Amino acid sequence: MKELWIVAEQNRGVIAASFYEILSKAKAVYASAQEQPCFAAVVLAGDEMPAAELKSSGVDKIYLASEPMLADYNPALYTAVLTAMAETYRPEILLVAASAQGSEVAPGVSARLKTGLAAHCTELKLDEQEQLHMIAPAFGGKLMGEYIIPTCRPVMASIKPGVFESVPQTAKDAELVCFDASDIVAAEAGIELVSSEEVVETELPIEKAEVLVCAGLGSAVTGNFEKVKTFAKKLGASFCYTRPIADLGYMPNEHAMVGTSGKTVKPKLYIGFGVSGAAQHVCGMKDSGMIININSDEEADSFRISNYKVVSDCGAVLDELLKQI
Amino acid sequence: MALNIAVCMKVAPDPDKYNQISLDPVTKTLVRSGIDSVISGTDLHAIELALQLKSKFGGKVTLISMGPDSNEKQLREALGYGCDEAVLLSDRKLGGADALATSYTLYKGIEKMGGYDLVLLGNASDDGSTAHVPSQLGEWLGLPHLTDVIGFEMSEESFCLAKKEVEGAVNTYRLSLPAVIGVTKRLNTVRHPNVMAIFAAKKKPFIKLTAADLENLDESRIGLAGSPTQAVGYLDADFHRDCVEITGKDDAEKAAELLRVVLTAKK
Ligand SMILES: Cc1cc2nc3c(=O)[nH]c(=O)nc-3n(C[C@H](O)[C@H](O)[C@H](O)COP(=O)(O)OP(=O)(O)OC[C@H]3O[C@@H](n4cnc5c(N)ncnc54)[C@H](O)[C@@H]3O)c2cc1C
Repeated sequence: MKELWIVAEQNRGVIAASFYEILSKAKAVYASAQEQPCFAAVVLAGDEMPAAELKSSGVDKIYLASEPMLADYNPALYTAVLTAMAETYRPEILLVAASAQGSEVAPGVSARLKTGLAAHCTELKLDEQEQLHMIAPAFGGKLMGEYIIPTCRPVMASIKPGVFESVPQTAKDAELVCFDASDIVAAEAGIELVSSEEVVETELPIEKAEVLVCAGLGSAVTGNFEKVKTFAKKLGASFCYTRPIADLGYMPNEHAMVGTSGKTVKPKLYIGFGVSGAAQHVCGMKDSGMIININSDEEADSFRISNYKVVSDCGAVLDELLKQI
Repeated sequence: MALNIAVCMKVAPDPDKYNQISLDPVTKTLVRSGIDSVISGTDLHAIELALQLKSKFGGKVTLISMGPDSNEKQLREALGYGCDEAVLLSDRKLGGADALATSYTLYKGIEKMGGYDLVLLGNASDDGSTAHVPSQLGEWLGLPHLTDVIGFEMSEESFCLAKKEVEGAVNTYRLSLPAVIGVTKRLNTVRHPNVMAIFAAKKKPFIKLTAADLENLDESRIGLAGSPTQAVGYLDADFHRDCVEITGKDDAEKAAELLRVVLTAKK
């Protein structure tokens, strides 16, 4: 039976939400296929604990490589071990999350296996021959590109987290296959983890927010960045931003950055201040329930994807909003 | 400890103009007329890092790009930033390459040039944005590699420290040199050259290599034919909504109406 592998990424022993999203999508894609694959989760971890969590996730099999050295993420070790597992058991399809880890490990594995890899996919489907087609944003999300990997195996794809909904699956008693990675782990050299600062998120992750207020560069360069944050707080909304806000240092990281190279969000309500509506940003928020943009340029592209617009200086509008709220 | 550094550079259509790209409704082919080609933005940060390292430790910075002959323009521009020489891998046979075929070709180019202590790249290109090439190039070269790098420094002789964000942590890794590093825009601030520097760069060495110049090239790994990932086509992604303008005689009135809409939607 052909196997469809999904890497179940673990962070400090906890399986990432992306695994359940990808599994749900993969099951839905194959729901009416003639040839059913064997769905397998692949876990690289420091001990056996994370595999236990997967036992009833709905997969048929779990491949586990458990070694103390795999507890923390090391790209070289993860790449080597995942490659060796794929070479041993030859999956037909190998899906990973387009997370920080997955985005790095997947291309390394694809180079070692000399196979194809579709990046940051947001849709998967089968054609009449039940060949997997992978669809991903192209040109910053202005277009969608559709890809196939016709001859090389496994077919590899990284899947954008937050795009697919995770749906509870019928539990199966999954078979556990343990892979001995001790020799591989011992042989890999050249890169070692020297320190790890834990980043503790105190805010609700923006993917979970019902209302999002977004700061664009237009709010920051006009000195209104703090007002956007204050308005978000007063409204009881979560705060997010466009890429230049992170790149230019208005925010210290990209945790709440929305777009092709950031998070994908679908709040009930999105309100953007000084956001131009570049394809790369729109790609990450286009599925929001209601979209409102405030921009001084009446030709702004962000208006074309909005339900409501205010054509005005965002500073003046924010002053009034903060007064009136 | 002089460093011999290569920066792999891509030329891509200007990402600020992607809203002008469309699909021909009949042929479903790309319409991207009037969009200039530029140095892919993140690669400028790789160039910046290379130049900072060169000024600190001495050495040489070589640009390597795969693409059509017209890429000479952007390579000359990049030389103006202070790089020492440029290598263009240009051949019809290389066209249509996916990330794997691109990384293989860059590997062959690097090998031909004799190897480097450090190979730097922008983590992702502006257009394709797969972020696959840095890791894949590292694998072809058989060198340690790290992507998405937000901090970089040389440590003791022949090691470097590179920092990246992973889920829930910021990790620092120590890599032995030679190594391949994919950098992000957050790594540094690019210093743009003046006109004089760009003019002076006209005299810097520019080397063009064709497929025939690359040694032991496996032709089944280059260009479209050597690309395992194939594009079936493009689909339109039109997210247009009918937009209602919130009006008012002044900003106070507009804000009041906006707040009403917001609070209703929020319920
Ligand atoms: C490979 C790649 C990946 C990228 N990924 C992402 C991504 O994931 N997310 C992302 O957001 N971007 C991404 N970008 C960047 C993207 O191309 C745009 O540059 C970015 O989205 C623009 O951000 P912005 O709208 O905040 O700023 P700008 O484009 O500078 O727009 C500012 C807006 O503010 C308006 N404005 C100015 N002054 C005022 C005022 N006083 N009042 C009201 N409005 C005002 C202007 O009219 C303008 O519309 C990426 C780019 C590349 C090349």
